[in-house]
Amino acid sequence: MRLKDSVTGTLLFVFGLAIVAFARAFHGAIGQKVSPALFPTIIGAGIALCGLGMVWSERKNRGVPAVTLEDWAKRPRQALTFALIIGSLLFYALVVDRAGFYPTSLVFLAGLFLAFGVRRRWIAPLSIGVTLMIHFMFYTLLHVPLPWGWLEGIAW
Amino acid sequence: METLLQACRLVFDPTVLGVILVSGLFGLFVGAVPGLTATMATALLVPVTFVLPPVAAVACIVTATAMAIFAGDIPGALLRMPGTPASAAYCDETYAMTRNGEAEQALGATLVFSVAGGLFGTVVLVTTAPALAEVALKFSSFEYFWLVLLGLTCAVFIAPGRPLKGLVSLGLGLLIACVGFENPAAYPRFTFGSEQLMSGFQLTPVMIGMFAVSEVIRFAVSPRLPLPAPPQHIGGIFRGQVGLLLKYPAQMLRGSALGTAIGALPGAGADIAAWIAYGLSKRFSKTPEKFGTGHIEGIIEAGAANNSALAGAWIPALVFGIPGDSITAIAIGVLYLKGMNPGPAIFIENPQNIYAVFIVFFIANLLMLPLGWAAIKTAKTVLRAPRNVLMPVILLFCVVGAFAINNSVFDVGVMLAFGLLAYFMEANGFPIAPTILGLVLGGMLEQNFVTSLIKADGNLAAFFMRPIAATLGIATLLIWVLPWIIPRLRSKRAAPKL
Repeated sequence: MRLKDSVTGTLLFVFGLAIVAFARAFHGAIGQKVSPALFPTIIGAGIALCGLGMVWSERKNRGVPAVTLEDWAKRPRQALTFALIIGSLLFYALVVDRAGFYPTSLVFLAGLFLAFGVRRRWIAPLSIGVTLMIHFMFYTLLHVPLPWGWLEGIAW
Repeated sequence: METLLQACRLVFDPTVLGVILVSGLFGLFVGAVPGLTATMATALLVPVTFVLPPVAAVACIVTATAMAIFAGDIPGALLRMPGTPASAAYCDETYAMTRNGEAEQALGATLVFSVAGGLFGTVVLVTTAPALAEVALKFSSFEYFWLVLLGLTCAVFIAPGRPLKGLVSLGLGLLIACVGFENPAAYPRFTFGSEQLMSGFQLTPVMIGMFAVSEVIRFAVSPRLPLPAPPQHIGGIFRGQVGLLLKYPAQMLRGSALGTAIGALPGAGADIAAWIAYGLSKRFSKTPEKFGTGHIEGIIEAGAANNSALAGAWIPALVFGIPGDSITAIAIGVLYLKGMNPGPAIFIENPQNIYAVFIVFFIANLLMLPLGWAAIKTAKTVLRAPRNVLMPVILLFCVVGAFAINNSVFDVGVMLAFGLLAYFMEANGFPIAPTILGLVLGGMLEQNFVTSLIKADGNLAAFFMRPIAATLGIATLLIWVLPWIIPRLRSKRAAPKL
């Protein structure tokens, strides 16, 4: 999704002002010479000014639409792949602690392989192989405590 | 001498040598597959560095990136698809040579001159870094404040696109760096009551998100075009390379020197170095009309420049803790994690570690010759690696790598959020590098700003009282002001007098 610079500029202007307003609530300890609000206030004001600058520089470009959807968003398959990437990452974050690494990773990979057009007969062996490889690398070699979840009984 | 021996012992250890070899192969693979970048390779390597000793961790990053930058030339020459952005500048030229039946000479030159450029950059790093460190020891918070601001300023004005968008990108990075209580006042800012946000955003999930996840998203939404077939046979690549070295020594030296200097500037890395070197090569060439038809001259200069930029970027990173490019921005995080805090003090307190890093640079660049040769010989197989299989695997690597930082799924969410942010930023013309530099340097900038302000009792003139601070300050302000003033002066002069 592409936004016209004047639209992005307006959003940035509001965002910058919101930062400045939010930073006003930061109070340092008694005796502190420099407030913790100073630095975020300067940055917020800077972002708001840049937003204004973007709006100003776009003042002659009136014909451009405010929002342009990219080509891929109009192609159902690619739009679905995009949604699936986001969905699979959210699925992993929400499920892995309860279900464990093995089941989550298998579903995660199988879904993505399917979306990326990998031949169906390869999906199961690839998902299992990659899951085993990544578990070996991170759990066994790098000692990352990947959760076992439902498979806690057979954990090694 | 004793320090050098200690450094040799640190490097010539079977673990470190093994890490160099494996990360070299990894870097070659990542670089040779179009769509995977050297920065992505570095971000994916960070979780692996957790279990490695300090020198091995740095060796891992140095070797993988050097190899990846060279390997990006292979698909550029054979398929007209640069493996990494650093090869894009001369991709058409190398491909034209392949079409003219000179694939061997093009690939040989990219390899040999990548090694030459990498070694040149390393020599500059070895000679200038310790000297700069001695000067840096005299720096106070005023000098550091201006130095960081100068670095961030360069990042804004060198980044592709409009400086205004670079400035917004930098502001976002600085704002993200504000999150948490790790600030001079130790006040929890923008935490919204979240415990995980108390210590701010971890650099690794942010980096993995911005450089790897965004790349996977970009691949997913781009049309799947089948890769063209590479040539069936690649012959001897080293034939004629000595002749090229003798014919184009000035181009090689100019490209290497330019690459090292550009690499040392924060915000500019190997890709920008290659574009500028290629442009300069054409400008100073005796036969500029041959450029674009499969002429080796520009390939030599730009090929040397992008690899020398890698070493150049480590100069400010090691001496001041200011990254020269996105790769060193990640590497600085690893240095802190491994107790090798960058800054002039490390040259005095842990000189053996610094010398070990220098030795690793030499080994990585020399190892590029045999490994690069093998990569070119097996290019047909590597280039056939199916990207639709690789991308989901990379995404799982990203997830597990982000999780590995704190063993928390919160970081997986952070990675996703920043991946999306980077994707939308790039789609709307906002460069990513200033955000990363802002995030890495935000804490340092605020710390030195607040310290200086307290020392000066709020008097801003004190920021210009010390000679080096004043010079750096004026240079920074000029970079901010000149791009707005010069065009106006020019237009005034050009306007006809009434």
